[in-house]
Amino acid sequence: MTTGSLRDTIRRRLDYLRAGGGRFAPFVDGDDRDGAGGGMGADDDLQALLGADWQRLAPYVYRRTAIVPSPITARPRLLPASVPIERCGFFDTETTGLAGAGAVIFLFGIAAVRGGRMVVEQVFLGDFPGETAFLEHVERLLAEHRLFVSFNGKSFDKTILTERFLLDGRSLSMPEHLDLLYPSRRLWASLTANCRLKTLEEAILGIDRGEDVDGFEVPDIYFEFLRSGELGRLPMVFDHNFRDVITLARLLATIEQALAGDDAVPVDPHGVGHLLLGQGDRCGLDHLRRGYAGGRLTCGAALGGELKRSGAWREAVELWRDMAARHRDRGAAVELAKYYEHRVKDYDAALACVKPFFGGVRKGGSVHDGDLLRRVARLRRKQAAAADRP
Amino acid sequence: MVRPSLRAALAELRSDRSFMRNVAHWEVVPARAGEYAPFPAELDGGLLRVLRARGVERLYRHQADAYRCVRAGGNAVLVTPTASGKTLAYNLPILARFLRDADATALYLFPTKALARDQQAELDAMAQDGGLPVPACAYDGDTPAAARAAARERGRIIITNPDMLHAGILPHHPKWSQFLAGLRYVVIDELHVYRGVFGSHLANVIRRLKRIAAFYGARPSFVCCSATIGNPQQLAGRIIEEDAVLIDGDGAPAGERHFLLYNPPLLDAQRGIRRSVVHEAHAIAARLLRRRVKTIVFARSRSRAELIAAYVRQSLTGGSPGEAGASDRAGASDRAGAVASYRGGYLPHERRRIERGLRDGSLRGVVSTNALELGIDVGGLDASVMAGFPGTIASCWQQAGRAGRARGVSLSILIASPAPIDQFVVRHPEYLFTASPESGRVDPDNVYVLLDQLKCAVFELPYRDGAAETAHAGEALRYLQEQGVVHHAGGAWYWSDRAYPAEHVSLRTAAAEHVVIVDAAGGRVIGQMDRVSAKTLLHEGAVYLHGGERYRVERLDLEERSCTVARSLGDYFTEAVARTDIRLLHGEEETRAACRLVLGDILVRMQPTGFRKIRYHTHERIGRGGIHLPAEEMHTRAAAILFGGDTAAGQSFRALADRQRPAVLSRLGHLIRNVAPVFLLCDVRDLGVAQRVRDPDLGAPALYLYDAYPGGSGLAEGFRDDADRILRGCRDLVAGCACAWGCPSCIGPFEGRGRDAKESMLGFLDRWLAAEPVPGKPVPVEAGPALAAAAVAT
Repeated sequence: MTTGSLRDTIRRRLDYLRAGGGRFAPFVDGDDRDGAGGGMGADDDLQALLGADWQRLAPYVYRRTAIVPSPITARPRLLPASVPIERCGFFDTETTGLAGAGAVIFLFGIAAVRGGRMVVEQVFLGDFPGETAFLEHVERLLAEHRLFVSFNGKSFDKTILTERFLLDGRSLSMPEHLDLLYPSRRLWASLTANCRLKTLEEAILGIDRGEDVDGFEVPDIYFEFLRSGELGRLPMVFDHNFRDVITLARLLATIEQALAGDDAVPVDPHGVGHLLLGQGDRCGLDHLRRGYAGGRLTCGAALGGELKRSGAWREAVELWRDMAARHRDRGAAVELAKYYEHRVKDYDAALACVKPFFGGVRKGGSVHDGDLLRRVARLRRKQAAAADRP
Repeated sequence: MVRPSLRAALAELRSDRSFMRNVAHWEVVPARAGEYAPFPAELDGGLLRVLRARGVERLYRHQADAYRCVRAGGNAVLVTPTASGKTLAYNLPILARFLRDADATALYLFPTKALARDQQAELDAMAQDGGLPVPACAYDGDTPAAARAAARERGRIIITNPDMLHAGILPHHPKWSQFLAGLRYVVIDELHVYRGVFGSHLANVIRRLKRIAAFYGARPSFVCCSATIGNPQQLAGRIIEEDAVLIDGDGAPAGERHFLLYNPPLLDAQRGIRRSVVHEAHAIAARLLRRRVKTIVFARSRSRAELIAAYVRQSLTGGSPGEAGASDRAGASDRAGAVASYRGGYLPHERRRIERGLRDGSLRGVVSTNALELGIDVGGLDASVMAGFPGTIASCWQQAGRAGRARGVSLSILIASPAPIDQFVVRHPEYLFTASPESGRVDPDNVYVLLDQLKCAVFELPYRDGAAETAHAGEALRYLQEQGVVHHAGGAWYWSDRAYPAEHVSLRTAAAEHVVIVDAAGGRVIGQMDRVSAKTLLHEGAVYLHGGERYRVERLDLEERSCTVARSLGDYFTEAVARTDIRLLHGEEETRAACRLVLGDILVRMQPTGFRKIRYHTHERIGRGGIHLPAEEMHTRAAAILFGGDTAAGQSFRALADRQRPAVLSRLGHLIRNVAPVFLLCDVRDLGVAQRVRDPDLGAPALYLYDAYPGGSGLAEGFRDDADRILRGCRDLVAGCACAWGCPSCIGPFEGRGRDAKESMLGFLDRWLAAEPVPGKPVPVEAGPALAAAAVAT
């Protein structure tokens, strides 16, 4: 079949589909065949639509900036000391999809602290042909920063930025990245229904956004804009992104408050202890101690592990005894047994520690059951060998 | 190596008169010496170690040919029978290139995950034996998330399937940029599997792959491997859309092969009823196994495989399965235990155990579905018994090839079922033994496939105005814009929908919509069926057969896509009556050999109207019922044979008595539908037929043969190209059938109609086909007002 007749055939088949046959929904709008569609037209129209807030950088690429008070007062300890706060960029992206080469970033917001204020800049891609210029500007903004703060950006925003850059023949440079999702989970996952940014805003930061768009609506709002050439709810997406960026800074400030021991912030003591110890701050131990005293066994387990690592055997042994006796905690009993077996070489004492936990343990049970059985068998062997020795 | 047990068994069969009476044909394919070539001079170090570790001291000629072609950067199609070292034929040149080009990568496509695993094991072993730094990674639905990133970053050879390439790799190509930039080779193994819908989709997936590779600066060459089919080079050309050098001529040595076509004895000659395939297959297999002949039996369904395996075990122990034997039975039980059944749905380790058992000899026999047909290494077996024609000649040779070694004798027996296609094959050994007539067909420009694939392609990269690919896809892009999923701006077409299109496009199935069949007792799901078939097979009151059980359909809910069935003890089955309306939308008339036909786009409207209850065995009608379901409509491709005017077909048709004409058309439809698959490499279910004694669109009596896949998958064109041979095949089938007045094996069941049915059919075909064809040029046929009506009425 020649290309011409093939094209005719395909055209005929498509006309048939347009007439309503086959699996496709009826086709309504008929005349516009020039390819421009009824959607976004000339770039000039876009400037008029967006208004004076937005400055045109290149065809289809616009930016706006705003200055707001900075929520960050003390220097957050999660930021490496080597990076000046001015070189930290708080960023967020809005995209047309979640994954794959067809998902495009159309809005990029980034904020940085300047003195006591935050400067927020947003770059908007008004239609796909502007992507190269859009990414070029984003690249310039990225170059102004050394450390990037995001929420879930490690797995999402950074991945999609990397891919868009790659497709445009650039390579993404994000030297350091602090994803607040992970510390937030440590601090608040046990206190809130989930760890979405919106949930944390409401439950922890006490912010009510009022009217806002949901993340899942964003792609459709953008596509509707492309199709109709009208802004529709797009301004709400701009604001959504703006607030997300500011929230990042507030979140970091609140995390700092929590780590500084401010009781006004509700936290999971285990999480605070973990984060502080991760920073090399021994105050973390106090949080774990308080948590354990408040009945949190996970704090006890973490504390025990930390004490063991640092060789604080006395406190560790005391803690494990308490956990085993008061809470019937098998993990603690096993730790005690290890201590007696390997450090004190008192096999009788070691066996006595785990003895209360024999009930219900069986071969072929859980991994922990297997461990316990092997431990006991080994202890008995050692006990017998020790007894044989003169 | 001499195989006295098989020689003895063959002698015994030859001297067994009652067996020989049923042997329609006994072909002896003589032993063939190998043809060899020395190693290519450039092979060194690691690769030589790999070859020597496998005991390979020289190459087969076809391997050397493939090596030269692939190393020179050309596209190749290797046509290779089972066990001819095809894997080495492409692995060797690819690895040789890799050792000289540290950035080169290759993509291997296999139709199943099991084959991909086998290939990975093979490549791993080669890499180890040769100390080659060539990581090969399987990448499919079973690959754990953690291993995926490693495969993308480190894999030099990625082994996957077309579905994964389509939905998991291409849409995420930026993650694969390094791999794709290095892409030098694409291997498409089991090419013959990619025909019809699957092949039409694959051709588009390959278009997408080439487009993305070009974006990263790569232009891979293709190596396709196919079983023996009529048009390997053409099929490869359609799928990769480039020319490829054909490398056939198997250089591997082969022992003497005996190939028997066995037609079970007639029980009722007039009605054409024969003894069952299951019975004959188990009896023959048991006979061979008793002679210690290592045997594989291929059954056409999972339940049949289990049934035959159970019967074989029973025969070997001489009692019922599980019966406690006396001490002298111990040997017999041992023999029975050495027969396994093998089918899809077994877990990988179970499959491996069976494959190992066959290789090391602890298993003496296996009864399998076609799951063992594709190239999985089970070592040499002595005999292969096919319980029913496997559907295509290519499959038949694949299954036969499971028996046979480089030296020594082997045996393959094809046991024919009463199905017309089986009967056709046993009566026409020439199709099997001379040239394979089957040709794989695809239609990459099926409008539905094209649109679905184009969505995926736009998602992957925009289409720029002015590019050749955009000129090709222009109309369809505009259509997608109208649908609101593609956006045109600044001289390019962009994906503009939140959906991830590949997720909604399946490469293998026509209708994504399936009806789930639930057993009312216990609520267990016992099967599924596509929506269109459900309308005639799962309507309320229908008798549905599954796993040897009979069920009656209680309720069919097409909205909920569920069908509730209950066990039935009735002694009848049901047959739906449907009215099929055809509208020709556009067609081109041409004259091919024996007939004038119109090739075109049609609209098929199938309205189930009612059903008949038919008693088993006697086939008397014992009741009827109504079907109240909406009509099903489909736009597809068809070839219509015209029986008008002054043509031989028209004259012969007019010579029939008026009352005979509708029946003759309908029986011819039945015949063509059953014979065409031998030539078109498709399944009977892939074709639909409809006849019209007066066709308002064409102004003559017409028989339509249409593609059962929406939009068509190349079968209508295939029929046009092969119409002459198919029609002559139909005549031969009727002429050669042993029945008296027509039977299900030829023109359809005899139901007490005129006893001249078979004779008038034969007369009609003879008059028609005896005439010499008059070639002519295509003439466009514009559909009349009927077309407009049809298009609007939908």
